[in-house]
Amino acid sequence: MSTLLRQIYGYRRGLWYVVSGSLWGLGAAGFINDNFLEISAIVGPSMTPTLSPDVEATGACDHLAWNKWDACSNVRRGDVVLFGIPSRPEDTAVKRVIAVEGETVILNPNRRPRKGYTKNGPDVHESRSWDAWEGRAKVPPGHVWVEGDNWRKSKDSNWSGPISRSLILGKAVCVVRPVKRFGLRPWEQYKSRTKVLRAQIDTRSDVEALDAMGP
Amino acid sequence: MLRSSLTRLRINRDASILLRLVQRSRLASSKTPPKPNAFDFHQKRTSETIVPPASSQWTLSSFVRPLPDLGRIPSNVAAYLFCACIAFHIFSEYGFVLEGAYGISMLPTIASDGDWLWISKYYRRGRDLKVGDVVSFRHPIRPGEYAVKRIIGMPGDFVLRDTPEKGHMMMQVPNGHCWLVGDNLTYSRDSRMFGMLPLALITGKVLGPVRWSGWTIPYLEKLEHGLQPAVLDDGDVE
Repeated sequence: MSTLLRQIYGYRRGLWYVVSGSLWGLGAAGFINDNFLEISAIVGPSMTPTLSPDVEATGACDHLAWNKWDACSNVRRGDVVLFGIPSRPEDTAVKRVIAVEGETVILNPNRRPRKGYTKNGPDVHESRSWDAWEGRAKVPPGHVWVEGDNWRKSKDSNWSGPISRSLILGKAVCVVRPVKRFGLRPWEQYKSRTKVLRAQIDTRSDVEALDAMGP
Repeated sequence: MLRSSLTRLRINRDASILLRLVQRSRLASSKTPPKPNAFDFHQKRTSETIVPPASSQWTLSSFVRPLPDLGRIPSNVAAYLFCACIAFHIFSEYGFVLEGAYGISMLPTIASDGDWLWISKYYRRGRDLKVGDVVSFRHPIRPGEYAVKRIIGMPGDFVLRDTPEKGHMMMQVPNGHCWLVGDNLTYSRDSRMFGMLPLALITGKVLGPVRWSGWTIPYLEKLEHGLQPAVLDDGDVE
């Protein structure tokens, strides 16, 4: 035992370099992960078959690379975004942006919130707020409307309303795993069927109207 | 870089010991002094290296390494700068950060002309927050901007939707959201304008402004939660 300790003592300089180097490497990886690039898996079925097509059958999920630099600027219709969930602050979700501020979404009746994701299931609490939109949802300033590609299994803005653009943490860059789909952007081929009316009024004035509102 | 220069010093030290042994044996064998050769130059340069003490005891001073070669400054400075950046990022992202705040919406708690706020990032995304805490958050309507307000309602609480004199409608705060109001009610744009704030937008809790006057050491003025126990006024009860 004492010979082993003496050997470790002999290699103490090398050990020190290995330990401190790996700690600084971890810190650098955390720096890059927080500010620039994150790689994370899509574990839910809401974006099938575009992303993670086999997640319910086999559990194999797609890993995506996310660009986290200035993620809440220049969000366009069709982007796949990673955002913090309003109702569960510690979790994140992946959906596609359907409409940005000032635009009006014509709600798709297939996506009405129902219990158990079935087409004719009973209503849930969120069904009443979906009905209150009366078929047209205007996206307020600073918000976006997100929907999952799989209309059967997606809890998105149809359930919780438009989300604030500040919640967006990253925009999708490309698929990282599985390796045979590396570098692909499979979400670009999908065209969402949800209709959107472009903004007719300048959205700047909406923000100014909000500012002018007194307490 | 550091390692190779230390190894070189150690090789130089061993070489100088070896050289001294060789020279002593040469002196013993011949009368003439040895011819100066290229190694003498090395011997002069290595007179400052560490030589182990005569006995086999190592003292604390024998662990002190000499500074690296002067010619190596640029890469060492780059490494130290890199480590400083990483350390600063980790501290300001997960520990504490000092931010400047401007605006009149939190008077008199926070000054209007640029107070420096000490923010704890432990409370980001709403962890362990309570009613009465002053928090900094990403603005829900103006992405890219940050704001500072006080929490009036956490999930489950019932809050008044408007200013007390202007309305009496109450709302219950849903899961994962909070209701924020500024201390200066008349001039604050807060949840009365933009509605419930998702807790995921909260970046940290403001522990207090850092104040100093003249040349005194800056001190932290801790913010109170401002809640007072409800007092039943006997005069109201008939």
